[in-house]
Amino acid sequence: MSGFLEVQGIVKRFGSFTALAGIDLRVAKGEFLCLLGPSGCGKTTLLRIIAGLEAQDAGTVQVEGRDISHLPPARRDYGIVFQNYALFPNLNVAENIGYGLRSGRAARRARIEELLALMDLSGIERKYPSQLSGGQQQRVALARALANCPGLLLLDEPLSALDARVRVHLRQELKQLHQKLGITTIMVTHDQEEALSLADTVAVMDHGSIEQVGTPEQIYHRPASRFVADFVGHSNFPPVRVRQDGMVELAGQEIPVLGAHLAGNARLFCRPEDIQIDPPSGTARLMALVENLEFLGPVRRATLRLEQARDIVLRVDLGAKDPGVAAGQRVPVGFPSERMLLFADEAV
Amino acid sequence: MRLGQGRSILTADERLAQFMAMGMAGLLLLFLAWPLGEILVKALQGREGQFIGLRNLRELLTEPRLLSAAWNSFYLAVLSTALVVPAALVFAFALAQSRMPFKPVFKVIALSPLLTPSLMPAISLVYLFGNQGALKAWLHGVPIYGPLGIVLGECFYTFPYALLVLLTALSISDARLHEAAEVLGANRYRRFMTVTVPTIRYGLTSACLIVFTLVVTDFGVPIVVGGQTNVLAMEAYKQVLGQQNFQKGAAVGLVLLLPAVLSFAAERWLARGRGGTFSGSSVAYSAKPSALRDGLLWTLCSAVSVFLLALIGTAVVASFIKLWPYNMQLSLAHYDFANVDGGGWLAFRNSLKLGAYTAAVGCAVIFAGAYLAEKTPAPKPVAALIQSLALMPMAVPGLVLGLGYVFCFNRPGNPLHKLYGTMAILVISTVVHFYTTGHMAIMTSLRQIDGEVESVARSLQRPWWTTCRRVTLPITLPALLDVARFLFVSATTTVSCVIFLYTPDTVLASVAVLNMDDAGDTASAAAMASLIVATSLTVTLALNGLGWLLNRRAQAWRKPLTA
Repeated sequence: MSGFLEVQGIVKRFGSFTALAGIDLRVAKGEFLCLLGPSGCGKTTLLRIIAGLEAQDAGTVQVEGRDISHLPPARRDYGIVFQNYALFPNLNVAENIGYGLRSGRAARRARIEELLALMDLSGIERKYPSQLSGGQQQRVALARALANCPGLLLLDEPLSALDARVRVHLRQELKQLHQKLGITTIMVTHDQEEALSLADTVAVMDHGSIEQVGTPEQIYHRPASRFVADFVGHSNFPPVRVRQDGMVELAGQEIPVLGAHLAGNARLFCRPEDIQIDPPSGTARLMALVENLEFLGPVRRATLRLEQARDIVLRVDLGAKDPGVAAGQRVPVGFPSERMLLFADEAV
Repeated sequence: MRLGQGRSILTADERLAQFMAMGMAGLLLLFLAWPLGEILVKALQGREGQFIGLRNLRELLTEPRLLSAAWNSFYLAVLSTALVVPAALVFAFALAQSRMPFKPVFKVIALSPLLTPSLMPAISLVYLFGNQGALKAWLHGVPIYGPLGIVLGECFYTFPYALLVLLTALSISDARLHEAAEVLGANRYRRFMTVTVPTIRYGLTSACLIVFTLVVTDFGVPIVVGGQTNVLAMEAYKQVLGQQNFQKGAAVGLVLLLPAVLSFAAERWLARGRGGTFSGSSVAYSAKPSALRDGLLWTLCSAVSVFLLALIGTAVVASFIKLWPYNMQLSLAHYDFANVDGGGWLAFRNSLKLGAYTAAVGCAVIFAGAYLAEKTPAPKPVAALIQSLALMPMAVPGLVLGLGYVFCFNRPGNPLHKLYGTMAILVISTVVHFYTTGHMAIMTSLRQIDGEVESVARSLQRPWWTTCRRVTLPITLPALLDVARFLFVSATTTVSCVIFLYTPDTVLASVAVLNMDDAGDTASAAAMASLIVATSLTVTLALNGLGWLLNRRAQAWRKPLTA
């Protein structure tokens, strides 16, 4: 698959601080890519460089083979939505949406109508931004960004200024909109749930580099680094020992792990929902004491302490269908080999 | 096509913005930095233009007349500061943190000196306490001509400046801090000392510096009621206009620049890292009623107001009286300037012109400078140059700026010599003189607009002037009206800068006041001063009205911004 947008070797420094240390990224046509990472990881800087709002110190940005690295924003053909939307406060909804349209009056009118209908904004086109709800403002910003039918849509934390319920709702709308229009989209977010649910591809960033690029499933289930595993979702990292013969030992018990390649001390990666309580026979099992149960709505999160190694604490999610356990109970726990990963034992 | 790394090709409109920004920086260099540089050069020259190093300055220090003038300037400024700042603090406290009745009326009265030329309080003082003064007996033989008159006049003239600074300092006081202190059991006194005082410490210092500098550099008041008391500002004026000794005038000008530059530097230094105090989430403090506090404050504010009103009112009333204090009949005779020198109605018309041009040109130039530096991709050094040059006029007394203009543009070799003696140079110098205040107001307004608005507009492939016209200008309009009002009023009331630059054809009303008073036509001077006050008041009311109308029209979108 050839890249629609190709970013190569992008470096950006602010004084002595390296914001981006040689970024390579490829986005296919029609793809929805999320740049995910903690604040300060450089994801917004990368987006702004792609937008031409910030100049890179080295590297190139290409769209369909055309080098746009040094073009001004106006010649790069994209639409952008900022976190705070940056709507023109003194222009009403229709004027905001039509701001970039330079066609004749009738054509412009028609395009605005079309966008109002598309974004479900009909009826409020005479209102001013300050009279709109957060969700409406966001949709206006989106409509304005799409008005010129750009080849690329850039979203800078577009949902983070909204409250939780509206955010989930707009997330779904954004996904549907992307499916309907098929526009290549790059979104910056620090919200992993948002990234996992929206993106075709997630690029996880940390300290100015890309840690992993993959589908949401790959990112979640097969994280490429301890950082990704830690940043996306919850996980347990109990210390394990990799024997000479390649077998992995957790608290003296052999645990089969697929594709184990490390030696000596390591960390076992297991998600709270992957650890099984009372596992089917044939699975390697360890006895643990239930210390605490936390009710989280759809799941209960149990805190377990291994009997053979009292300093190892595991968090395990119990669904509604899982066997009932109570604090103080002794339970067998199992580790399904296909869900386990090993990481080098380094301080996080 | 590739340029150097880290740089982007600009669109045509952005390149135009770059050229305009460079042009703007060039204008500021030409009309601000150059004249000031000339002062430096001149101060190091002898009468024949030869280089004599620091001899002018050394002579200054050995001439007893100048030394005593410097000492007078200093102690009168200290005295005035010591009187004005506490009074202004009480007044500001009453306006910001009390439930005193008639607050808006008090505020208008307190700011009214801004509408008057600085000579006006001095003229009123002469009418009240002068040789034929109505209240001369109150002084028990102490003459009003001299230190007493200067201090009283300067107090009137500087009061609103101190008040505005302190009022701002007090209004940013966060209500939640007061509430937290109250919940923690602090009494009124402790709350005042631990919450109010720390928040205004900066405002207090800066008010002191402003008042001190204004007094040291003002010569309007001393020239009318100074009597035998010589001050530095008058000395510069006399050296240049009286004795044509430009070099010594420049040296005195340099000395006058000193307190202004020092206090400006001190203010900048104090202001560093203070951004956090002006948090947008602060909750405005509103005081609980207290009869004792409010009554006390009301009395004090009334006393100050009576003082201020007396110094405006006396001159106005006197201008309508046939021959104060012998013939107290009402008369319009003093408004017929035909029989007195000074320029009469021509001066008044010129002042109106100067006010209008200064407001129009000043708004355009100041907005352009701030906009180009802040909102367009102007080259960083150019933007920084504009920003720092724009702050300079604040530190330059009008008198010194005026001297610089004389030295710079009165030199026959200067290609811009033609400007000398025209209305244009008066407009330019006045715009430059009041540039900083306007620039800061526009800047504040521009910075309230989300920076990403420009980014979005660029991504929508619109040139910056479209965004400027459709978005930025409408949002900045109220601030621009404010700046226009400020420039007009300042242009009609100022004397210090233009005194060196007017010609018989371009004589101004404020200068006429000075000259008439000098010639002994005090009543005509009072009449001219009253005309200036009436004009600035009218323009202020008109522009405020216009602002109110605009605000009402824009209410639909502006409302939540102010909420």
